[in-house]
Amino acid sequence: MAHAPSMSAPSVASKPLRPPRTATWRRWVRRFRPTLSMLAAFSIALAAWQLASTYLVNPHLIPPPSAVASAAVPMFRSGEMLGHISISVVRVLIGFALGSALAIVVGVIMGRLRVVYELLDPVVEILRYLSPTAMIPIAVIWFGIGETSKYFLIFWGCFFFVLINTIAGVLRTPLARERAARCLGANRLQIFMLVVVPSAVPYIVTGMRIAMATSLMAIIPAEMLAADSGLGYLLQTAGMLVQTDRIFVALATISLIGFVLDRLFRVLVNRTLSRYMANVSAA
Amino acid sequence: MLDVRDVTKVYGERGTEYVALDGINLRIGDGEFLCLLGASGCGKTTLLNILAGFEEPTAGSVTLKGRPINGAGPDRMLFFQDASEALFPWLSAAENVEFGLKLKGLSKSDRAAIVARYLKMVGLGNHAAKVPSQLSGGMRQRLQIARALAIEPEVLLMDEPFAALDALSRRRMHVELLNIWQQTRKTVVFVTHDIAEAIILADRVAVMNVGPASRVARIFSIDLDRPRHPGQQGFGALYDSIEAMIGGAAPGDSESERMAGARHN
Repeated sequence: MAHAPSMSAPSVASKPLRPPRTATWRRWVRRFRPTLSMLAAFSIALAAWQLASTYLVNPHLIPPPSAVASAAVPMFRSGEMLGHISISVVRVLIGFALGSALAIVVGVIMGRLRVVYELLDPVVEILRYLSPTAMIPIAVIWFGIGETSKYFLIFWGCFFFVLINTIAGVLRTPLARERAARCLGANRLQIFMLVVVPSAVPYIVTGMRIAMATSLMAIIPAEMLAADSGLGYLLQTAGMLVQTDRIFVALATISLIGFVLDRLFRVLVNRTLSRYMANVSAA
Repeated sequence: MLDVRDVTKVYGERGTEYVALDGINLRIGDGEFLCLLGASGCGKTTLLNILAGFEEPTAGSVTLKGRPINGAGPDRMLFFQDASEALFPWLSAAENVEFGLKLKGLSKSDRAAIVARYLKMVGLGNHAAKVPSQLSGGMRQRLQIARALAIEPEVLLMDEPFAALDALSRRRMHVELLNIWQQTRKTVVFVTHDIAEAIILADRVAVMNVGPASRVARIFSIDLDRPRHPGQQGFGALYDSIEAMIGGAAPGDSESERMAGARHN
């Protein structure tokens, strides 16, 4: 990239009749390179998988992509998959929203009020090692196997990631920024709302992105052990019946949902919070 | 008049205490441009924070026009070296300037007029909609100046504001700051460790000796004509005597000999 201008400049001067072709080509490659490389990566991976499971390994253990695709078609046609997907996604989104919202509120208070931080941080430090999976038995006892226990488990999985990032964001608000606001006449509440919370947004968003991925990891064991619907339940039943093709359909779907949810979250952040994400020191 | 009397600042507990400032006396006139000059660690920033109201002196007093300073307030605007930290990166240039005006409760049309006036004064009239990350380092410092001036403080307290800029931007900022100062006649207290910068800018240069227990070693009145430049008649001699003062070895100056002795204790 660095030497592209110096390459094209003399060619424009010496051969004025057909210069732009390479430049156009370069621009085109530069523009679509991420898309093209992604397509290439998936094509090669799928081809390798197809070859390996046709010639190298037992296709009952690792069904080839073609077999997975043909198993997927009836599952999607019947509406079975859509049902599982929507149930799991709704559980994830509700738990994620509740966990993130509470974590942001608690996090900004903990980051700002020292007494609250001192009283809560040791407890957080102990509780955050309890994974959502570890909480499944008690969640079923508390909330039954209905939706509430799923919301609770996702909530549990999200809460600590968002909380810890929110606290870090609040604590890392530059002192100069707070002092500038004070000089400009802001009182404590105004500094908190107009300076500290906006300064913490990039950290909060990072925490939420991690939490979103964690939610999707947390929902599967919860549905495997304590549900009668959702992608985890589908995995569990397919596993008991040794239907490897259906297992692979479920696994591929989970990956895809994770990818799509993350992209949607990023688009949403870019649409609504982009000005808070600007990192001045990077410029 | 900003009056600093016997200001002493001691950090730490009894036994492990650290005396940062030991009896600072300064009288800074209205509209005066005073530079606080000294090596790193001499307590310049501590003194500036005390003037701003972010720290309290252990002993002594600071009054502005006879009123004792009690915490930070919009009559004294502290101005920071790192503009990317001090500015609000999610607000546009105009919104950064408007921030303090909103807090004052001014009407929208008043705010717009003031914002436009000060952005124009610092040469950012065409960059009102840009956010700080889209501005260069020098432009960010000018934005900080506009934001500070917009709330009409009586005193500007500047902590090595141009130390992070390249030499050319820095020279331009000196010219612009002096222009703005001559237009607005604010009192300026400007901290620097650059002797030439101090001579170019200031009416008076207060040289602080190296800490701990910093004091104002000597105050130089700079009577050179403006605009000043290093080739000017008298500039070099002034530079040399200030440098000798900072080195603690001005010959025949009893005050500085005492300071030189203090440094080696």
